[in-house]
Amino acid sequence: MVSQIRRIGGLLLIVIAAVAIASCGGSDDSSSGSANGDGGGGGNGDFKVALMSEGAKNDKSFSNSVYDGASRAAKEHGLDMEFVGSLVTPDEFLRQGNSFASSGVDLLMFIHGGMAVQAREVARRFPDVTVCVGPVQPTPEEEKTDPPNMCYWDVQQQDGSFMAGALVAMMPGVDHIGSVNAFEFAAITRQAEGFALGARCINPDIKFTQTYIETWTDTDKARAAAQSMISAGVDVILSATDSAVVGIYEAARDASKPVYVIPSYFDAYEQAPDVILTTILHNLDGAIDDLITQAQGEGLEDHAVLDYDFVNGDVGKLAPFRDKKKAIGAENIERWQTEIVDAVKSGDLEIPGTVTTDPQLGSVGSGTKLDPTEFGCKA
Amino acid sequence: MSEAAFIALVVVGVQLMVPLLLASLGELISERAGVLNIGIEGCMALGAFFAAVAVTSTDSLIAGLALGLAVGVLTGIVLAWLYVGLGLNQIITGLMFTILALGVTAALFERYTQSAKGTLAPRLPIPLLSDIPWIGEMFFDHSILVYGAVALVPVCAWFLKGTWWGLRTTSAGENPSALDSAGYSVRLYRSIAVVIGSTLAALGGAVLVLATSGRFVSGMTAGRGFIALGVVVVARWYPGRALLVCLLIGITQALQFQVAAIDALESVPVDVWVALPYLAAVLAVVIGRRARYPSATTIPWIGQKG
Amino acid sequence: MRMDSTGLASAPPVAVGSRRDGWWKAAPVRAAVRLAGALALTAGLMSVLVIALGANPVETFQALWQGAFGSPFNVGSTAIVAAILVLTALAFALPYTSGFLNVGGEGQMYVGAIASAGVGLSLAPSTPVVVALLVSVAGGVVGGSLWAGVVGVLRAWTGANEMITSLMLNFVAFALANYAVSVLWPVPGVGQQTQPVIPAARFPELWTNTPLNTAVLLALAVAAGVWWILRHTRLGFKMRVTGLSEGAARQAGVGIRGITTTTFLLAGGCAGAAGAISVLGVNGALYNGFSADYGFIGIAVALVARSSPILIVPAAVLFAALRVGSDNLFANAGISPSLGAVIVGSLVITLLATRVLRPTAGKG
Repeated sequence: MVSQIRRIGGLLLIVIAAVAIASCGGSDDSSSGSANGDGGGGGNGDFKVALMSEGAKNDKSFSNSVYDGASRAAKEHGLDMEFVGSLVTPDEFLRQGNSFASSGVDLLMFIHGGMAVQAREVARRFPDVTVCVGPVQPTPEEEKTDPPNMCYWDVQQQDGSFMAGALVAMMPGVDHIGSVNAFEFAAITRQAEGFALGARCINPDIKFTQTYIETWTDTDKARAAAQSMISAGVDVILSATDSAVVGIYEAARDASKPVYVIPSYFDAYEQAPDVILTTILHNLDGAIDDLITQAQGEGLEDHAVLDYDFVNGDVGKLAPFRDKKKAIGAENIERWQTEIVDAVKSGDLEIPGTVTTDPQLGSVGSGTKLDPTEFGCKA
Repeated sequence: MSEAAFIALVVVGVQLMVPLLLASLGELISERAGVLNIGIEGCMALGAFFAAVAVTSTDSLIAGLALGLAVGVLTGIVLAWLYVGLGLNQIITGLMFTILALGVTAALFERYTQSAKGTLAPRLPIPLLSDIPWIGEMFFDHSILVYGAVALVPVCAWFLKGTWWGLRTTSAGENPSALDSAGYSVRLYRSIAVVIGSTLAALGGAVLVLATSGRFVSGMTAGRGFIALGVVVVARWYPGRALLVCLLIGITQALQFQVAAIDALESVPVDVWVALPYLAAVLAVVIGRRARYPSATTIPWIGQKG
Repeated sequence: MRMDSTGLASAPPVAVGSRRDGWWKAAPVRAAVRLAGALALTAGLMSVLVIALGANPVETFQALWQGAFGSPFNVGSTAIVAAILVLTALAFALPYTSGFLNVGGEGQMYVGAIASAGVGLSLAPSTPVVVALLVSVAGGVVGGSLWAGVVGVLRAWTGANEMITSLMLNFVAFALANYAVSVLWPVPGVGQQTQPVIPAARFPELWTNTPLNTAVLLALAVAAGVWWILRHTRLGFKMRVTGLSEGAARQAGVGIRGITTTTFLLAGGCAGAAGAISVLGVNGALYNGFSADYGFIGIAVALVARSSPILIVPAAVLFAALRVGSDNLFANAGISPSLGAVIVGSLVITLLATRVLRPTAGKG
């Protein structure tokens, strides 16, 4: 009996420790959990949005940007918004989506380009719920078989990395650039290849090195990859991974020469002001905000495909250069603005698409093989 | 391969080695005492998370290490109570503890935003030694965390071989009944070893945070705790050999990133590199089949028989 | 001092599943009370955690129940996850009965899924339903079987510790899956998954509009088959004897090497079937990182069921309900879905600590 009591006493100790741990985490922000955009105001108080993502909403990267856009839309229009992160497996996405759909959301968003099948299944079961999946484009077959309440959204991530690549290639002393990438698939590959192509648009002989590290989160591995690049002479590194990017900052700081990092999605300047050159803002927040605003307003049309790029949706705008203006050079920024940014806007310079177009930047090596002069580059 | 690339390869390898080395030393001590602690991946994640909490709120390297250490001790006490006190099945308990700890840190990470501070650990070129060509750059121009971890290797070796406490710890793993007959508590020595082991693993997690960003990222331990289990077998439970094995694994991983220097590497699928340390561990367990776990590993001490 | 109340702790290390008189005969009431007590303790523990996270425990448990059984869809989801867990649990239970620790169920399931997907997507679209399904499932079973067979052969002929090798091979299998997804059969434009298997290779539906399909029958059939092998065949007898004492088995003329290899081949086949279900019965393609630790949770299921192939079924339903139900926690109680893993992990540790589970150590 005594031992029984001891055992339970021990378990209580664990409970106490767990509570201490949990409450020290909980005291940080009271608004976490379900992040209601305060459903009280506005005429659309009963419009409900739910988003599901792989990452956490405060990851200072991909999911963070999505969450910011959704919160903004929720606040503006007085909507109920819920965001659930850290989902991993496809059946988790499916069940979570089903759980949201049956709890009465009007717009359900799968923030994961690989979950089209799961999104379609929820859309079929709940014809009154608009179900969106992205960043991805539908295939022609999918467009034929999808239920009408299914929608797709995409951001052309190569636009931003192309322009960043061009800017970097103009910088004095930059003759070797690199990219640390997560996994090998189109939405990631197009970023790295766009970066290489953009740089070659200015300097056809620039050297480009890239590594796929097969992780979104292993910061130490990202650091090792970046460090190896730096020792091979790389001057600027693009991050096409997720929260592991913090390891790349560290490698750049540790370098014996100035090395700059270009993270993506979320302006994380204050995370490493010394090495962040600029951030490629794929304007996920703008895209998500726009999509939600459209859906709660007139509603999305059947089979909607919302494709955001630089011209129509500011995808790929670079974050302010702040104190890096000097390193880039004022005249280079000016040249970049007219030769690249304005040219892309006017259509004189046409950045290739992902996979549905020809040529495309969705496969490894395309950025170093394609001829930049074909798209309007002068070099 | 150029000279610079080779040096970079070793430098990066040394840095990749450090968290793995700490976890391996922790596992080694625990296994020497007869406790197979599969929960070290969980200890690492907890150590990493709390080190980041401390760094975010105090900007101090010492605070980060201290909180990581404290969490390691606490975790160690809980694990020692489960493994040794209650004599639970170590493999199942360890696996479940890891699943639990990874879940807890993921949930906490979502609730507790941290900002990256950058490493607070200064780099310290060792005078004279760092001037040696090649070797100096490769081994004697690192962050103080690297030296700290390597310095723990002889400490652990001395502890196990040169102190009475350490000798009793190893006999708790090899021949617990003899230790018990000699009038020492098997449970006490095992518990302390588990606490030391968990603490070292948690420090490994803390170093992962402190050496890179000062920020925790859910999933950043990425299976290092499991690689450590293999390292210990390959090193045959000797701290010195564990250092060598960890360094080799670090350099192998670093090789993956030398694509710019070695063109042939480009044709090797990334997945091969990812799988390599685990395959090496399997191979080492097979080749070193005479590598024998301390005889009482995984067997809870339930008192003298008969 | 602890031995008085838990005399069983000092019982000789016997593979529980092999005992003639099952535990339910020995002390059914005590066992039930213990299980209920442990569940209550876990519930209490979780309540405290839930309150600390700022949510309401009653709502949380309601949400958990709702998520697992609240609608036909949810019941179907629970059933199909239970089917996967039955098979991964068998992958642990079989070697455990022979005294081996197979913690590689997760990887064996991955290889099974890779093989199933590979077969299922390369079949001609005109392949008849029964043939396509059978061939694809067989692919998964063979894949998982061979992967585990490596562990068995290494253990049998070189004495390599099966716990370490099976654990390490999990990670190799993950890398293999990533290779299949990104290099072997990628979908252009989309990442993290292979092309879909042909529709004829999918498990036929059992209950319209729910995830429930005939894969559940496969899992039940395999569980029954394993029970039959263990109880009524010479092979099963040899496996159990080996688990009791390798020395005795050898004296009785059992070829230890053969039994070890066979055990692992069978176990891997079960895990491979779980992978086949995940591809052919749930996702329709191989996804990178498709398993929510199902291989590891299977270990817990097997332990709760004391490695009995029959008891594994209800135990799998319990864990499936927890895992599936926790996906409903966020929408209805505002709690992170990561807590699902925490619930499973702490339930098992509580069950161990309260001696509801008394697994023995492996041969090491």
